[in-house]
Amino acid sequence: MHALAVDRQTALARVIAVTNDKGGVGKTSIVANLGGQLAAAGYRVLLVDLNRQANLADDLGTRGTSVDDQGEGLLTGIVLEGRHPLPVAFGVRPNLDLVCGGTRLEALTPLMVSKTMGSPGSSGQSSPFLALADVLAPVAEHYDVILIDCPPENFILTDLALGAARWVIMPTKTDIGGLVGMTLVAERFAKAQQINPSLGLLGAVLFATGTKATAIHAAARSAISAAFGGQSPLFTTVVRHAERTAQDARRLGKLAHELEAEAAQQPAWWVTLRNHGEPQAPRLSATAASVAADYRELAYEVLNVLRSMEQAEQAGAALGAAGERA
Amino acid sequence: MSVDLSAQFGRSGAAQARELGALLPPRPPRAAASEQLDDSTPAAGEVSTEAEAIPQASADDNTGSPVDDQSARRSAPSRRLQPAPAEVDQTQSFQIPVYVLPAAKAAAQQRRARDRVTNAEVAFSAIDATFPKLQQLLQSRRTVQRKAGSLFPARRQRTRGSSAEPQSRRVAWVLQATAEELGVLDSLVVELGAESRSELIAAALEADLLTKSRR
Ligand SMILES: Nc1ncnc2c1ncn2[C@@H]1O[C@H](COP(=O)(O)OP(=O)(O)OP(=O)(O)O)[C@@H](O)[C@H]1O
Ligand SMILES: [Mg+2]
Repeated sequence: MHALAVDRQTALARVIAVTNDKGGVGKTSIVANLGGQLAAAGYRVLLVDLNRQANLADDLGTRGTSVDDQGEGLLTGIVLEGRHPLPVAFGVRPNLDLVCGGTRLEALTPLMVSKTMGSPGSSGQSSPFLALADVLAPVAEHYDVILIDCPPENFILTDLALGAARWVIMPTKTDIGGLVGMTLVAERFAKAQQINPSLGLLGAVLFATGTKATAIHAAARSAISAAFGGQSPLFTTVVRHAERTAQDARRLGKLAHELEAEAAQQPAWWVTLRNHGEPQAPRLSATAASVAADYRELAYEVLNVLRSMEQAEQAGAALGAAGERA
Repeated sequence: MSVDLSAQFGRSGAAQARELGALLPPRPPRAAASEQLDDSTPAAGEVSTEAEAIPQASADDNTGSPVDDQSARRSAPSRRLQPAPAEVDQTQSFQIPVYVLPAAKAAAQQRRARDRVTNAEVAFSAIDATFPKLQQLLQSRRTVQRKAGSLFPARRQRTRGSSAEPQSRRVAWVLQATAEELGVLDSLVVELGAESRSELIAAALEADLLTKSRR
């Protein structure tokens, strides 16, 4: 392998693309909250938003603030092929930085199309779909984990993310749509491995659809396991369905664990009950604590899987080196 | 759908880690602040110190504590994979044993599982729901109901528990409250004339979960 490619691979060893071709399965919520949990736990985290709609900015409360460049910085970085440092919004939370998405990303699609025409899969030149990898590689060393929030139904941007990622996390809902979305990702995944051979599936996350869904969860689990030849990619943590908390989060630009803390601070429920007459801020749903706990467990599980994969890899590398010497 | 996605994706990290036996997750570092969802049931009638979640001393896990100086960290990229230590805003929580009728405990457990909420949330929404009549509920709990037509008025009960009918013997149900919630509960205890937090919560819980039709 090229020395350059090896460097890139090392730099990007902790880049995780959160993707599913299907919309509304929890990609953005997972990027925001998984990132938020890891950052709160002391890891250095970068979030990259590849969405035109930039819901990540809503979840983090950065929309319309001075850091919100609507994806301009990311676009410029890719246009200039990494010759210009990627602008990063530092400290949107302690330990948490952001590369913004937004409407400027619309320009990426035609750009990538023209780049693809320019280099019809010639192997001498690096693939245009390594553009994001090249842009991220120089900043990646500053982070313990980088999470990419992928858009739904957009092959080109998904391909860019898969060209830059070491790992994929696929959120899915309990309905059949999630599985269809996974199948579509599977095609892109196989294709991306041609330019990014180290790409691997870290796991899939079940995003609950209802409150009383134990049987439905079980059915979804076995359907997904079956679709993976009995080797279920699902993490054990399920992100519970909590519509009010999700709405609070996006409305207020707060992560679940931040809502958890605020819900604990708000006036006692009985005070609110009594002051009927006075205008009151809407109460935060106390379920935020439970949702935050789900993300905490997910974060922990992701760290565990990452750690064991990296350990296995190191052991494998050591074995390989020993084999070469023998 | 008959696809084999493992053909494209290969084996996931999650599946491999499972096989490696690496997925025996000790509690997440900050899980102490949250309550577990699997119910730990204290033996009926026992004074139990068993809690929904027992905060774990995690001093041993706190290796690789994050560096506070951001610039230092930026210049020396770290690749830590130790679970990071608990965050600062670890709200301390307190166990509150509540003595409730076995049926109310069962109903509370059902409610908790159905709504995937904590015992504290079940208790607080019961207080919410019964608040206007809670004082009266507390009073009526303490009066011995005389036989219909008795010449004697109802009388405040002295010795509860030991002399109580078997079906009214109460069992422990434990919830986990923050300091702030504790303060609120205590002020309600005083204000409504309850004997204890346990009595306050039990009155609300039994009225809310046992008397009205299921929500
Ligand atoms: N735990 C939850 N329970 C219920 N609804 C949720 C939960 N978390 C997020 N939501 C809501 O579900 C919707 C989809 O979530 P999200 O935006 O994270 O998915 P997505 O896959 O990123 O969507 P898109 O494909 O449109 O980018 C949002 O409206 C969000 O507010
Ligand atoms: Mg999204």
